[in-house]
Amino acid sequence: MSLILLGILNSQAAAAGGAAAYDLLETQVLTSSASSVTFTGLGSYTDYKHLQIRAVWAPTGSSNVGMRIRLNGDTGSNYFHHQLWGQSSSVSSQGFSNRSYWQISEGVQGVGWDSNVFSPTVIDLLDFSSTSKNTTGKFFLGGLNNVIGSPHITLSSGGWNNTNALTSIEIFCNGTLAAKSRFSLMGVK
Amino acid sequence: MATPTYTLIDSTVLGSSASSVTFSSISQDYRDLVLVVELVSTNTSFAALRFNSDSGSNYSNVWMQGDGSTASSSSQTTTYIRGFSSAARTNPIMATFQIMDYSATDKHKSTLTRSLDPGLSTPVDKTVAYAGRWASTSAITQIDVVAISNSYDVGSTFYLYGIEA
Repeated sequence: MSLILLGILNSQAAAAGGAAAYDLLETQVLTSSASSVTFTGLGSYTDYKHLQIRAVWAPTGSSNVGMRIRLNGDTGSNYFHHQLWGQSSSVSSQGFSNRSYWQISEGVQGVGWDSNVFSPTVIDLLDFSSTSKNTTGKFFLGGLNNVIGSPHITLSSGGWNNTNALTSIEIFCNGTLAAKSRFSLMGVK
Repeated sequence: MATPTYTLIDSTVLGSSASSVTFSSISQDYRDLVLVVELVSTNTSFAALRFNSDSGSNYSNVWMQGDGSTASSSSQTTTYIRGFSSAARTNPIMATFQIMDYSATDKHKSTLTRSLDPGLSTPVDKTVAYAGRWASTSAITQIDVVAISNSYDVGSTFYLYGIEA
């Protein structure tokens, strides 16, 4: 037996009542390759408690690169992060401190391998407007276009040793972001 | 201008067993989809997604899992996006699928999934993270949640959300 649900509509969207708690704030879709994508003016989003970035991205070329994040333009050695990833038959972990960025994954292969393949990524930045504690983030990424090694799945998290409220988020890689990569900034109340 | 989103598109709770659940004519007004599945199954079943009725070997999956004592990883190319597999059990099993850029026509479709996955042989509850890819640039207009073998039981729930992004 197969249950068929027809006529998909939005009729139940607001049925539960209460204010919306998850909003689209901005989206950037690259029409040409770029060295980075930056969301600025985050101070205007203090109605929100947390930020989420939903990305589908790839680097150019065909070599492996990792996605990186820098906050408020801080290039100091103020970031730490840990990664847990599965690749081939093994699960591995590594951690770093005193870095000048978060690296949320290793080896994501570029569109030079297959121009249709992009890697899904969800980035959560918690309590981003707090000025009383350091900023933390957690990350979930699928490295789907990796044929030099093999595809991988990565969970990671990190901290930024700074109590300033976030004003900007820069996303880049140790390469160039490919055209068609998409980055959406969401606000969570 | 902020746009409220994470909109419930449709949902169902099974009142009778079913071998699959289909969401069809999916609105193209969103960029991402989130599918939340909690299954009751007293027989062997999968949470397998197929898009646009494609049952070819056009899906690839990579995952890592941990059961409390060991961790492992694997990958496969197969006929569905993998959510979990389970032998018969009385406790529910679950998966949350993030289906990214489902309405795009310029890239393959990709997924991120977290699940409770007991597995088929010598089932042991595990927490699992998956990434998947459907090797098609077609916009997704239909999602079949397929048990592969046997069926989903009464009380299984399926919620599909749309995200403007």
